[in-house]
Amino acid sequence: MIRPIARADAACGGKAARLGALHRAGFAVPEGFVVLAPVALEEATQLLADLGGPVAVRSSGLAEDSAHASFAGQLETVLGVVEPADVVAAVERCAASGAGDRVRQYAEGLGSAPGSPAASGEDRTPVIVQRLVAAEVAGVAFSMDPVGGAESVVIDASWGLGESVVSGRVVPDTFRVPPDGAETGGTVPVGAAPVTSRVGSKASRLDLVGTDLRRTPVALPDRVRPCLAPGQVAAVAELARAAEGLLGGPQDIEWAVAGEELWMLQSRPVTALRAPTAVTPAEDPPPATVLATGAPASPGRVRGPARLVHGVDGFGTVRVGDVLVCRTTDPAWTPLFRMVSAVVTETGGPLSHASIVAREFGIPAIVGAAGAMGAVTDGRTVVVDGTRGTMALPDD
Amino acid sequence: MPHTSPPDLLALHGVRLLGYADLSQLAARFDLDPAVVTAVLERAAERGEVTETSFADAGGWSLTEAGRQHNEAQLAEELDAVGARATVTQVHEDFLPLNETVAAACTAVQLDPERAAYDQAWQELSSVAAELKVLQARLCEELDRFAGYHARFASALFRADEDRAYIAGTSVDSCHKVWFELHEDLIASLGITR
Repeated sequence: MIRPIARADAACGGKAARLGALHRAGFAVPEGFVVLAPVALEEATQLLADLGGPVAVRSSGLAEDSAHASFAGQLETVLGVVEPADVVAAVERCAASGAGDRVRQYAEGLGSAPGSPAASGEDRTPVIVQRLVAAEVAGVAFSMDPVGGAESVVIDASWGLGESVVSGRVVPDTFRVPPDGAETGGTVPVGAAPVTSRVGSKASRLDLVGTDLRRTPVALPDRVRPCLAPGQVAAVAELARAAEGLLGGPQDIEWAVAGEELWMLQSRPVTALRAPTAVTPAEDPPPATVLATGAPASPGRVRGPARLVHGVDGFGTVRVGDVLVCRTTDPAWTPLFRMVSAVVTETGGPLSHASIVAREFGIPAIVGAAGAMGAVTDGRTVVVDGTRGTMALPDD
Repeated sequence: MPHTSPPDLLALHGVRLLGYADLSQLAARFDLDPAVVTAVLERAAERGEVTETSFADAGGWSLTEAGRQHNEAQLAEELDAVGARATVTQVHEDFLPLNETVAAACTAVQLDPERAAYDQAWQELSSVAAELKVLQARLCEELDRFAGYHARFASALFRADEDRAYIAGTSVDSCHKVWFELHEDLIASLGITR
């Protein structure tokens, strides 16, 4: 039960099905196979020979393909597998990482749910065995901006294999590519292109050295310069948009550059939006003029115009990038979270609606900030630090 | 015999529960004819009780302050006409401790990506689901408009293993979204705030 990725369909799990579609549409997807049953040693030997080098072994998700499948690190990935016996073991580990136990538990304890495959006994997750790209630069890209939902592509990139970015191990470079060449507010363009960028510290890299995976420190000059040239940034943005075009709906892609080639490694629909990478470094000094203090509810630090909203009747005043300042939130307010850059509520705690939804959207939030609405005038630029729990005036 | 709420109450109440929704979402909420929902919303718009707005690329309906008050007045009248206030009040009391559990479990999943944290949270949400089934049954003996929450919550739990967005996500019918909607339903029905 081994199928080339080029022929993967829904029965191969969500991840493989999407890779199959991308492959058939001409995207540069590394060669690989989907494995639907335990692999024999001879089959593993043949797979390695066919793929010509070290492989990545990944779970493909449950056979029931959901339009919203995204796995948030829950399923297994094994990188840099070289020996046939290790391929056999990696396949078993990934195949077991699905939710077989849960299906049974659910069926016993909770009663029936639509579409439950409880009766089928199919506990085994399909597994992808794919050639591992020896990436020089790799990372992820959202085909839409997770903060505010604008049409910009947001790219996180770092040296070496993309695992450094995916796992949050390094602070990557971030590039924001607007759709029609319009400038985004308040940042310096890179070269002539209206792309905004922030260079991250990119302190270490993971590389395939022969047949070993090794993590090493990045040399200082490479930490302080962007790891992607403007042409490469544009190519990754185009790749993300093309994936969205093919698969329908915003995509969260993993990509890798090796030599002249840009590879598409994974694509999944954007459902839960990511936490921001701009977490306040502990060594940053506290702000000079704090307007309000609350419980840190969602990390990150942003600046934007404060928008005082007293109730649903005030929603029309909110603009993309505003800092929402209000007493409390409820389901009617959720659409605002898509637009604003941060949320400050006077009531509530880290478990309240504003906290949970802000985290889902990956925007900074502080809650229980008594008096916040009286502490700032509407439209005044503020800095919200969701890691520290402060709303302050900018220091400059 | 449980009471069935009239369409004009349900159409407006759908806007309250969903917060911001388009016509098809509103019609689907209580399985109403879209033409009926449109008629109710247009009359409500004339009274200044709903507005239609666009956020980024989507368009939808939401209640104004006046709309919330009218919605609560309708719900209160129905509650007292049917004699269900005591039941709904008690269910809300029983709901509150579970609310703490749900918020904590959703937060734990958001803040800790480890599998162990997720499994622990899932178990807690699973216990809540069992309690929710009982609470819903008590509500539905009086007002059948309270039907559906348990099935949606349980489905979200089931799908969460495949896709963690079903725990607290906002763009799918997640555990948090369903739970929060029930909370909104209870407080709107009782005319209280959180």
